[in-house]
Amino acid sequence: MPDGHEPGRSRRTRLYALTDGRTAAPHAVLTMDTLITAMPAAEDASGLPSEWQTILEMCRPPQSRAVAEIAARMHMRLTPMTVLLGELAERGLIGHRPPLEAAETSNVNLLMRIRDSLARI
Amino acid sequence: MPEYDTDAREESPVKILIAGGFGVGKTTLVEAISEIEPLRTEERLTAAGVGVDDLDGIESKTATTVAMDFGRITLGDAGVVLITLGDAGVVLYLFGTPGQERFWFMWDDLLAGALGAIVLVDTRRLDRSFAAIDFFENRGLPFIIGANCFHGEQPYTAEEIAAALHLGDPATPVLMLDARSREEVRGALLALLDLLIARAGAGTPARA
Repeated sequence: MPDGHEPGRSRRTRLYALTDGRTAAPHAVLTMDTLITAMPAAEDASGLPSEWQTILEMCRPPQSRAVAEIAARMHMRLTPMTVLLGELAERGLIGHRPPLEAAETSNVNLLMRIRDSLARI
Repeated sequence: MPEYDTDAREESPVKILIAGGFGVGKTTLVEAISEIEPLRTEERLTAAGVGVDDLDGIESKTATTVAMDFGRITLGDAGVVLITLGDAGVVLYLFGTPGQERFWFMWDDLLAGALGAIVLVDTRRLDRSFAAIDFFENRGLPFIIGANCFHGEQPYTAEEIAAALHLGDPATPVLMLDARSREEVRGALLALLDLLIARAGAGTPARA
């Protein structure tokens, strides 16, 4: 855990303040390209920490965002963001959709749909 | 499948990697086609992740943090095109991979579920992209070569570039492109999709 030794980093918010004390990744396997969507349970977010509210707001359906995008927009590094999102997932506040499985990446129908859509953007 | 219900499945993330040596134009390419300003994600490296010898003479800032730039293209949710995957649309994330070889241990996450890659090369510095090509060839990830024409000019032909790169599969497409051009970047993505469709063994030939 970074401990504020480096110059210029001493005012960084402590990770555990954002993750509610959690310092290890929970069960959910979140990678940088896992797609996050706020769940209906997150609709009343008023009692939650403001960082959580910000994250839930940016992932409100139909919008969903990759872990890497949330981390970038929150100015957090990937690992702490993964821990934080794992906490939200455990509380049922977010749903997560993993990247394609290897077998799906050679699904011709999927590839052709992506191609057709790309051709029209 | 995971435990959550179908409400969370509006979009499937798909992923294409943009690789190539340092300074070859990966972020420029992402910027040309992304619907969002390219975002930068950072990961802090532990001591185990960095060869100790590599740190000599390198600013500690660059030695302990690896950054990846990426962009996003929403296919289906933008109101322009509706594509369906079951009930789902697709979000295409373009990840610019870390240019420095010593950060490649991070690529395992990137490789998982990636459709394919565009390897950008600068013909003045082809050697900078050899490592990326070797990596994808070893891992079996399909890729195409994009030769970045920095000033709209390219003194070499695609055949010459292919030969100089010693591609394991001589049929690997080599495209000339200007990474700043949205049209040309889209063309490169389409060429990659054509390759993927052909590889997937479609009974239907890829459309031109």
